[in-house]
Amino acid sequence: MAGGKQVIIEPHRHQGVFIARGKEDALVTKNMTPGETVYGEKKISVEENEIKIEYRAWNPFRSKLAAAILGGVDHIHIAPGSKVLYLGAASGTTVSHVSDIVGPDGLVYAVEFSHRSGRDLINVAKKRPNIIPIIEDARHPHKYRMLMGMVDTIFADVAQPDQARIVALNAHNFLKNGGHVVISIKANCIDSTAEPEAVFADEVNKLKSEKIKPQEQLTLEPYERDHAVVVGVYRAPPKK
Amino acid sequence: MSNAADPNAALLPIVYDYLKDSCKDIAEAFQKRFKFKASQTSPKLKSIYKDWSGKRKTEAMNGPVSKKTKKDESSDDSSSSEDEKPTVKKVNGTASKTPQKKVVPAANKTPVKRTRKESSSSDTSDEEDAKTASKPQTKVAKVTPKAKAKKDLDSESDSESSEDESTKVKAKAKPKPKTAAVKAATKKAESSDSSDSSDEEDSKPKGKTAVAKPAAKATPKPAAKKAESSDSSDSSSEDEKPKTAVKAAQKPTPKPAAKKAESSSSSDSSSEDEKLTAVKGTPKIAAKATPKTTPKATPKKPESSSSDSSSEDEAPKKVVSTPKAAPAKKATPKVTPKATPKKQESSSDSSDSSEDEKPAKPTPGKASLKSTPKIPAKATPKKTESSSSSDSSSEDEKLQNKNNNQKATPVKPAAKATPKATPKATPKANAKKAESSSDSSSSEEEEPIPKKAQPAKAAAKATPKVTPKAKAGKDSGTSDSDSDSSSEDEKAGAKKTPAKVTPKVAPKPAAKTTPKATPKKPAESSSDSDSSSEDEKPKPKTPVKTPTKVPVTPKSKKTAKEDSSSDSSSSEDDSKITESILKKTKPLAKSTPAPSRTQSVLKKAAAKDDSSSSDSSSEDEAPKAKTPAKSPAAKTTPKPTPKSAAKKDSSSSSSSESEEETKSKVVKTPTKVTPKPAAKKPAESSSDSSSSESEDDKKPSAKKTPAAKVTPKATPKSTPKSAKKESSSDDSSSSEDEAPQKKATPAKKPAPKTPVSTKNTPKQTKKDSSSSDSSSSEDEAPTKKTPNKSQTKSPVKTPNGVAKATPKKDSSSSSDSSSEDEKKPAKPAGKTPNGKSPVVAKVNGKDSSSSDSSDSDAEPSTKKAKVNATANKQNKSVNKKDESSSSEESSSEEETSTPKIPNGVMKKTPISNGKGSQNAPFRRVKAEEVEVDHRLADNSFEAKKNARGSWGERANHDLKHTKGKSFRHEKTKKKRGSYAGGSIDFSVNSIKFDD
Repeated sequence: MAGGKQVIIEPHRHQGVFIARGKEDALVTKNMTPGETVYGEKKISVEENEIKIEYRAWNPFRSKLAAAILGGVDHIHIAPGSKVLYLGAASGTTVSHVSDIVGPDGLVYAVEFSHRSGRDLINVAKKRPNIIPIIEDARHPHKYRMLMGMVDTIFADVAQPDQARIVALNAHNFLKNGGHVVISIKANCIDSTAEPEAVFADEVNKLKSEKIKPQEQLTLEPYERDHAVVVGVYRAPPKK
Repeated sequence: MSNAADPNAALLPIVYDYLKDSCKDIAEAFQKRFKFKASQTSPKLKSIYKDWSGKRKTEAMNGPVSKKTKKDESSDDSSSSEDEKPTVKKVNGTASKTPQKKVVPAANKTPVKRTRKESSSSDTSDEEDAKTASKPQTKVAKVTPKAKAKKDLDSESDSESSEDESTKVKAKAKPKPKTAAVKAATKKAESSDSSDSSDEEDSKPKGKTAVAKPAAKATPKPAAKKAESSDSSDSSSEDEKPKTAVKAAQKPTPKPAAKKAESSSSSDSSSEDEKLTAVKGTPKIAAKATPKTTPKATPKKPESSSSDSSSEDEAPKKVVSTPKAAPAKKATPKVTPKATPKKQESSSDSSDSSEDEKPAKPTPGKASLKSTPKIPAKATPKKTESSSSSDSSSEDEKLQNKNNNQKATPVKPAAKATPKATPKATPKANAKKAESSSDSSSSEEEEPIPKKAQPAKAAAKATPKVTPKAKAGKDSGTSDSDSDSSSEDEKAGAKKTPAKVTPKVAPKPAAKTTPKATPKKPAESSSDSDSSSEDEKPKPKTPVKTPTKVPVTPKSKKTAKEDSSSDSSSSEDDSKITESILKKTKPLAKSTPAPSRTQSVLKKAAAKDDSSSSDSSSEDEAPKAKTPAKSPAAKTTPKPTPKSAAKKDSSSSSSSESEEETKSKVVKTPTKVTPKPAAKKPAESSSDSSSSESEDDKKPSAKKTPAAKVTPKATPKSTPKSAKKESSSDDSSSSEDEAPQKKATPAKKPAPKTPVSTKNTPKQTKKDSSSSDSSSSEDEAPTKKTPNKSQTKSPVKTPNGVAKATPKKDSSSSSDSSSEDEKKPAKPAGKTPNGKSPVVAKVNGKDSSSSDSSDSDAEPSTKKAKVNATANKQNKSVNKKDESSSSEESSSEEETSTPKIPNGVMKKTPISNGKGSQNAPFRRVKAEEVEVDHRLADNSFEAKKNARGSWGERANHDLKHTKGKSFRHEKTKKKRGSYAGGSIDFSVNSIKFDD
């Protein structure tokens, strides 16, 4: 992919996301910190008008958001300039791509409770000014409320049995009215004995009860097993 | 010993004194054996050692190391080299091939050692013991101790572990090993030959240790072996072989080896020790052996460098020697040492060890020459070397104990191939049953068929460390099957050894197959095997059950089991039920299991159209003996537990079986009786009482008031079949199912349980319960046309309902029913209350009538007749079922139940039933309560639109067949970035929520 001539970058339907068309297509984001990679992903640099632009490959097997994009989700509600609360940031691999998407004008509040992966997250944030790492339990949004502003979108990949509640808590605290929620649901984390479809439906019902109106649902197969992404809107304005 | 004894006379008190301090038991034994008087004046061993060590330090400062190395080498060479061995042997006892001679030289040498250290004394004691005892026996005795000693040799920790196992032996061994090290040094100074001889002796015992058990069992063999060994280099080789094994073990890092060796060896040694102790009864021997081994170990360690070559040389020798040793025992001991060396030893060592093992396998031929029974054991080792050998040995032993000829033959086939095992299995099973013990070895022994798996288990259990590497894969399956088979055997043995034996054969293959099918979880496999075993026992049922279980399992194993049980009960109820079942199955259609169930039901129905299929099975079982049915039930119970709520299910199933049996017994003749209405009435009356009770539990007092309330209740019930039927039918069905399953014993408990069960049942599976209820009611009705009979039947029903609700309770409920039945003839009124209440709950129309009758019954017996009549009329009018045939009733009930099923209770119900009210599994998401959008009903990639040709299609192709660990593995490969999915499109494939 190193050969810029062989690769054509074209923008994706989702703003800030690109597709590198070459021998094999790849989902890429524009690297905010050219020359550096976050987790050893491939770099694709393209010269346009003698301006070198670097893109980073985004592997759907590593990122549920990438999997959702490749799977054909209608909206990710993450675009350049948007403010995103990212729950379950882990080591910051996907966060780095979200950071690429929102660009320098956007913000990514990356919440991760694990100190071990939080270290990596902080290292990523060191080089990306639009990432605000928060090493706290997402169940207690009041602990990091002082670091936060209102956000446009909450992306949650917490894989906790009470993740609907966690998302709702954060939505109530930080999500603007009409903001969106993108939740990755791992059925096995909620009830490994029930049918995944039933688990997803149950989670959707929980979101409904928390004033989060589901808009679309998408399976993450084949990239993840028994996963689904649900996109919802929070306190949507009444239809007229 | 006489020669040695004289010089030893002075030493004995010293040693005794030392032992007295270190270990009184050993000291006493020591004194007892040598019969000397403890002298207060004798110098202390410690002081002697101090003096000696002081001198030695001064002397050795210059060249102890060189001496040691030389000694080690020389000893190694002698032991390793065949030429040296013969020489050694010659020196020791060329004149007499018998081990005793060898021992004698050792004894001679030992005296010197004794003077220096206690360990030598221990050696002498061993020798003396050997002399005193018959030669073969002595050898055996020595061997066993040596085996321990080998362990000890591996490392002191090992010895300690072994010691822990046998406290007596341990106590002695601990002090000795230390001394052994000292002795080794001393020995070096003395002469390599002496050390060699001692080593040889030790080694011989070691080699024998493995065989020690066989030897104990069959003394002639050891003697023959001894003769052989003495005759030629073979004996030396044998001696060397043990040594090599020890050396190999020692060579590798002693500590790790020690750990492994400890675990494996400890188990083996412990078992051996135990066996030896049991046979010989004198722990002293073992203790003596251990000291000897320890000295050997020390020399071996220094020799380690040379030992490789020697080990190789020895390896072939060992092979030869192993055959000499009793097959079974030898195999086990050999295996353990080998295994330990492999692990412990470096790659080169491992190769040596592997070679050793290989030769060992061939050796069986030699063993076979010696004794046929032993041969089989050896043969088995080939398949599963260590584990199999251990198993075979255990089997051989057991067999020998029970039936030498028969057992021996069975052992071989079992070890080799399961099919063979089956014939053998029966004898074994008998023997096993008698012998059946909690021990893994016993279980292994018990079940010949499962032996393949068993060997693995045995290996895992007995020598987990050794076998794990090679066996690991096999162990899971085998172990499962083994456990299952063992459980079955045990159960069978307890209940019906003969009857079970035949079934066992069939179950065994099934068990084997099942494990394969569900290798995922051992528990599952075990459960499967159990199920298979159950199936096997009731041959007719088995085929149906297995399929049902399989399909059901995917959704929920528990539910499946319950369903199957319920289905069986339903099938039992009537041929008509089949139709109802079909209906039921249709609602289930969504779930894959449904078809299988339907098939199974159909099969059952076809097989026993008139009578319920379950009845037929129960009948079959019943003729054989009630116990068999119970045994399967017991077996079944284990299965459910592993899965999740398996216990409940199993209990329910068992209860159902027992109930069926009971039903079959009681009702067999009147499978389908027109008198049902009449019977029902009386039964109902009795059941009514029970139902009233149950109702009381369920529904507070309202229903309780018998007479007055009865009529009203009946009418409401009949009219609102749906509402009442659900709850009542559920209860009744559950109670019915359970009741049939559980015979007399379960019945007792039902009354208290009934309330709970009833409560549970409604939630769980209405359909099942209803079907079962109908069947139970029908069965009961036919059986007892007369009021008395019906009453008896009614109690049964009530228990059933209880049973269903809570499997555990079921048993009690069933027992109650049985008790009720028994009592009813005598005292209908008293009995009726218990039985009646459940019936009422169960059957809507019938129940109402029954409840009425029961109410009447409950009140006064005289009223019962009138009430029954009225109730019957009411029932008939209300419910078509009442009219004449119970089948009609059952069908109607089933029909009613069927509608319920469509709701989606079926799947859920089984689960709920399994754990029921008592132990319902925790579920965050109750699938039955969640409405899933049909567009979202399938989360798979293929169900997604535009999936074909998309970027992820290839990944789906790779990943859709994977699960769990393999999925993660495949996914990790794709994470590396090598994945190429083609072109990426921008299509929107998500599913939108409408509003």
